[in-house]
Amino acid sequence: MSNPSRLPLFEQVILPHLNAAYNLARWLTGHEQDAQDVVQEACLRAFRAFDGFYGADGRAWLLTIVRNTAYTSLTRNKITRAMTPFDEELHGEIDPETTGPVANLRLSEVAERLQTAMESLPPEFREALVLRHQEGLSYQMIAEIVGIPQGTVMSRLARARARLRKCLVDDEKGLR
Amino acid sequence: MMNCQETKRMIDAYRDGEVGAAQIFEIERHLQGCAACSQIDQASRALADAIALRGRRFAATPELRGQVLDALRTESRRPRVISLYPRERVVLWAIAAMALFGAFFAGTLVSQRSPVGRNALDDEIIAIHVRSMMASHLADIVSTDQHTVKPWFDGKLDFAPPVAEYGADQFLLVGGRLDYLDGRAVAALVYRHDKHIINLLVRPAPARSAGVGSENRAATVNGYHLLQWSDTGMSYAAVSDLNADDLRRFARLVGAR
Repeated sequence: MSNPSRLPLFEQVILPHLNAAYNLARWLTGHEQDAQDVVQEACLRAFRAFDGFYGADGRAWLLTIVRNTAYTSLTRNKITRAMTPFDEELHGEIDPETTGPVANLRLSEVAERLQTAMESLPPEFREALVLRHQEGLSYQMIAEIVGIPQGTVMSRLARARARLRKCLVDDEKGLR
Repeated sequence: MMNCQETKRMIDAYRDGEVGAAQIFEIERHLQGCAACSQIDQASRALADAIALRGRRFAATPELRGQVLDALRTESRRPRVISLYPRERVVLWAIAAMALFGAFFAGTLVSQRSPVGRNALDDEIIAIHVRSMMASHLADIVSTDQHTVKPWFDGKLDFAPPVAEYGADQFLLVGGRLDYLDGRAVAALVYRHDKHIINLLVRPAPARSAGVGSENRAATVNGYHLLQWSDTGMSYAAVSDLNADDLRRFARLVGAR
């Protein structure tokens, strides 16, 4: 319920996760201003729905709303990028097992190229990587946030990593 | 023993801490004896570390934080109905109509038969509880910390209400507020158990019952359970829609302090 007395509680329970919310929104939209709009709208939505939230994980709850808001905004602003409908198989055409030896990839050196590589992935892959590796969320929590089975989380992460590795390896080759 | 194909399939989940102890054992045994898989494991770790440690994490700017807070404050001042979508508004009206009908019905029942042991003070306490749940008046000070809630009452009351946390027993302190009962200002402490809100009203024990020690009372009115007792000069009333057993457990915790 939107009334003044809920605000302090909301500030205390939900707003500490504003950075996580912005990070996800920024990765999903790829734009600073879009991400800010998404976060602001998501926080308002969360606040309106706050009465339905009971002591579960505040971060996961806010991230779910951020994610939905971001996708709505992505669909609305189709102009900003050509929307290819996400296809797990199609977008993950690389077999994780055949990416070859990658251990020798000097990741410390390619670190700055990570961002470019991650941005080149479909948002579904980006969000999986961000939620797993930056937020440190379990497969189960990611499954709840994204609304897919845990098994799909696992395969999606595998494909996302394979794509990311391929981008980085190609990048490395291109530099030589 | 696990072969390479199985290990490769599991390696990411293994690194993510998402496989069971038996599988961890199998995978680690395989990794010890297999250089190729071991290399894949290292690469998998390196990539995960790179994303976590070197991948860019964007932080919300103070400006964004300020904008969000402003928007929330505006939103919180807005009357609820205006902020609702038409579809939700219809639902709300339907609920309101049902509640009104229910209240009328309950009213006629209550007036027909007065529950045993019910008195005006019980009614007043129940009314405080019900009112606190309506819209905007559950807590004036919102905090789960007794050391924040207790000092808040300083200077607002002519007594110092004992405030404690019972989080270990799943009774979570939500906050406190001032209320008015039996002709005087009282401290209302708000606790939550699951989804149930408990109001604990505290006031100095009236002179007439001092010395009696405990003036225990239990009552159930319109589905609300109410427990009253006195202890070391204070009068307590705990009221909630929580089941009677859990409420008694709560009262014992308060009394045992």
